[in-house]
Amino acid sequence: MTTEAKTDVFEQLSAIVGAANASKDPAVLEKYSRDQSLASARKPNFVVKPGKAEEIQAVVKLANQTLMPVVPYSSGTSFAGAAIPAVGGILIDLSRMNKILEVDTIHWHATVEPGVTFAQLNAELKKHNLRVQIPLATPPSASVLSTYLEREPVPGSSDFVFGNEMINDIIAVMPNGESFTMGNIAIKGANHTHPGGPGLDFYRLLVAAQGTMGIVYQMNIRLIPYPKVWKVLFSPFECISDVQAAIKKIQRKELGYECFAVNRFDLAVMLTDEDAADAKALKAGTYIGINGAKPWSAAMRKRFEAAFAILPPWTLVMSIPAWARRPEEKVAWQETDYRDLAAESGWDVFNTVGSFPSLDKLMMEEMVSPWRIQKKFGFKGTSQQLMFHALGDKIKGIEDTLKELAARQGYPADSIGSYVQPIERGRSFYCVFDLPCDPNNADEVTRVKALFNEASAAIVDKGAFYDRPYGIWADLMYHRNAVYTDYLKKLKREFDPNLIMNPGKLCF
Amino acid sequence: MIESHVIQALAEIVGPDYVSADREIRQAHTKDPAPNITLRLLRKDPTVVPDAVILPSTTEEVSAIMRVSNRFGLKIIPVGSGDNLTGLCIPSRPRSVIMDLRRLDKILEIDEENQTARFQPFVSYARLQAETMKRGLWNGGTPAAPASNTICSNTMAYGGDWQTSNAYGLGTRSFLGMTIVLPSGEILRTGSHGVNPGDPTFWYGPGPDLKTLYEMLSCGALGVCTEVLWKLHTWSSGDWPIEEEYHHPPVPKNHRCYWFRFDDPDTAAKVSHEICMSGIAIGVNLTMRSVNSFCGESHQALSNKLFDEGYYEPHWLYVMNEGFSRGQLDYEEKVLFDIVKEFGGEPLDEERRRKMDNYNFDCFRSGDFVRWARPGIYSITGFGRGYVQDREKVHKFQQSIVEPNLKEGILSANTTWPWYYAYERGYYWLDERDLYGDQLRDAAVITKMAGDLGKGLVDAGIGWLALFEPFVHWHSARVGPNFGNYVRAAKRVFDPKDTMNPDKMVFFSPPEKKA
Repeated sequence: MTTEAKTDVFEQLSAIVGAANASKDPAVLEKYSRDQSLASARKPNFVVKPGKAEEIQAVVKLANQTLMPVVPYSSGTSFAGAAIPAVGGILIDLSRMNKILEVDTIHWHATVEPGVTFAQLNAELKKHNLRVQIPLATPPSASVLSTYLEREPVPGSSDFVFGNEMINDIIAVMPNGESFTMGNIAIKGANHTHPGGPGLDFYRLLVAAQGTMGIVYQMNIRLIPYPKVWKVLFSPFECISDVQAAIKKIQRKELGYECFAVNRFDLAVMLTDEDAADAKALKAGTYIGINGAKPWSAAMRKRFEAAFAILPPWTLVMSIPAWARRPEEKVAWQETDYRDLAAESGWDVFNTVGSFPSLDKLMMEEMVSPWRIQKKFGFKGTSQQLMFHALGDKIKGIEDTLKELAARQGYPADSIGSYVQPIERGRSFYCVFDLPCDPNNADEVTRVKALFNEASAAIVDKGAFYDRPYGIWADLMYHRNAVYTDYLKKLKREFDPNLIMNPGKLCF
Repeated sequence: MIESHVIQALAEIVGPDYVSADREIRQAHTKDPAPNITLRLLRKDPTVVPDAVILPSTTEEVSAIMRVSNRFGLKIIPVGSGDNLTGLCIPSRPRSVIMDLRRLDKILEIDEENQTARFQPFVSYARLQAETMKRGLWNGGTPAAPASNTICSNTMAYGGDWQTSNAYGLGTRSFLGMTIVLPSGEILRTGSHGVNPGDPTFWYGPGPDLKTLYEMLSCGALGVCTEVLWKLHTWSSGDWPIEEEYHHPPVPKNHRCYWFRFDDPDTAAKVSHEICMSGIAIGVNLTMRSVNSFCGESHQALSNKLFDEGYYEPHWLYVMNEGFSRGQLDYEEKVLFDIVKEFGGEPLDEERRRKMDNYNFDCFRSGDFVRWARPGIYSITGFGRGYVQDREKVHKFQQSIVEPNLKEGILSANTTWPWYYAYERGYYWLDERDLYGDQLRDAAVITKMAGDLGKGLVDAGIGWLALFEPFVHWHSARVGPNFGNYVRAAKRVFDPKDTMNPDKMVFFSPPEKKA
């Protein structure tokens, strides 16, 4: 595109969103060229900040006329490079659209725009004794809409109803600029009761799509109440095989709500007091920037090592909240049943592990607003994350493979952070493994990237499934399913004939 | 009329015993009590009867049939258990072939460790439940439909709003993976099953999820599902000797069933909502008078008589609790009775409660709902989704359509309150208004009522999952914006020649053909 043509596009963009909300300043573009991952940086040509749906529509229509790529962007929190423009273009920063449009306290749901953060929504919901479920390790500054749209599981995902499908409906600007409402509310006057139909379900074509199928600008999500009585219990385990087996037993008796296991590294991170200067940024969710996180002080590392030394390899966290009637009685029978099950099955149940006081309170806070676990990014400055689903009995093989590859590359296995959480009563598990890395050490970045790439491929053969195929995972998945990929591409061409929506992602 | 060489080509795929152009066999595959189908029969519409019937036994045979169909311009209509009541599997074009899936009837695997089943499309609710319950598992619910209904097509057509969906969610969310033969003959596998066939790890994607287009209401219009990976749930009850006393089966172990009556619908609705939000009960269902009378009595005449006498009151609430321990069952019972006491309901007297034992049975293994079809014509008018608090609006609207159309002979059951199932704690399957009448005499008036109810539901702002035929001419214009455009886009991508079950549901004839 010639400079003249670019100027023309910028003028038109400015006319759509207002001059104050359009930018081509290189310093501004630079901020949008990277995220918290090690994905390669690339600047957009322009950044616009629309304030309403009609402006998004106008920008997308202009992009079609000028054949410029469009990349949607919400809070700027991404650990996978999803919003980095692969080939430049117009980046649509949706952070100005940050209204909580509705909170239904009778049926427990809320309608939000893409700029609404977990911290913002939870502050509003607290007034009504409700809360939004936030995935473990997601900063409170992250966009609720984008997080749910990217299908990141929440800690309650073991529950079929309250923790699984959390989206009620969505409204999107499609690649041709049309608005498309998906779910029951496509009928004028109907309620937020289901994301499908009416007639045919479309919404999951936009979920985990990294903005390639359209720009979702409104979402209704399900909420849960804040517990009236809440008990959190801990059990130490030596290896992941035993943890997953225990979790399955718990889940198949449908006990508790949040249930997950963290390894020694992740729990030690949570238990290590942060450097005082970082406390504010951690709680605000701004600790991890596009240049990584500030590395820990020597004193903090020492505190971490002390905690690490006395923790078990794996800790199972069992949360029993009660939010409705007779809450004390509910927690009582659940705790009794849980302790009976543990005694029968041969694992211990404690109020803490490693003799840390008030671990239950810490974990409750972390489930509502997970700021402590962000500290792991300061261990070295950043981290490469492996996120996948696997059946419980496959996780050990995956962990072993990862450790073997790490050992071969001289990467310390003790530095790999991890947590696993069951979905659907333990039918399957969502797993996250972290590879901390110093972003300012080029050699280390190269080695960790190589380990990440090798491990990503190797664990697929051991049962890992990347349902959100970011970066190199896309090829690993799509190369194994030709017909699926072909029809996804055909559908993409039908919806987005000019292929303007976030090109270069997934199989597009 | 399909040429003999085309029938021969099909016979080479499935064997000569499994394809037929015989008139009696073709007619036997075109039964459906939907009133609009009756009208077509009365008008002697020749397209109601397919030109051939074929019974493949493998995914590969289905694929080969698709390729032959493409070459010779056939229309393929896949059929599951064959007892659809809404006209979904009745042909509408010349050169239609019914693809009867009854030979794809195997349960391929039950994975107890990971709580999943893998089976073919002709496996019924009854079979899967019998096989899984032995192993301490079950599929989590049963629709208001005969036990012979196939899980795959029933859920794909009706969404899986089950009587136990309060705890286990909608049935559509049990599809972990599908093998779908596309109209082109290509074989599509979804989720982790697509990356590693048979792997149930995760149900969506990778990335955008194509399975979404098949789970609900595509009704064979985008391809044929030949294998399903399906989520199972823990069945806490072990053996359940239901055969010993058919009409009064024992409540399964670790389950408790409760019936309450209320003087007014508002109270019943409030109690129902409160139970859902209290986190107890696997099933919360508000039944209506006609449901009660049809399920409570074994004979049609007695159903009608007791209905007319008001023996079956309209505001009954049925609650099912399941517990893995005595502690849980006792806790949930206490909470339930707290709520009922607070709002003012009372347990059903023993005589009436005992009549509903059949219903208790149905909620776990289905069966007696088929009694609803006894009166002759049975028209389902659309299933809505909403809040239970919307029921008054729904009821008033439905009465405004039904009452002016009633004439002598159409059952008074048509005038009763709708019924409601809770799903996913706080949401409801709302407003199914079934219409009963004489098969021949009332087909026209009931077709009109069904159409008015469907259109009106949308106009009245009542959410629904589109379900019955025919609504094609007005649906997409009322839902939107742009819903119809994307439906047609999906059809263009997956079935550009309009081979699969044409004219059904949202996939009415492509615009170029309409002109």
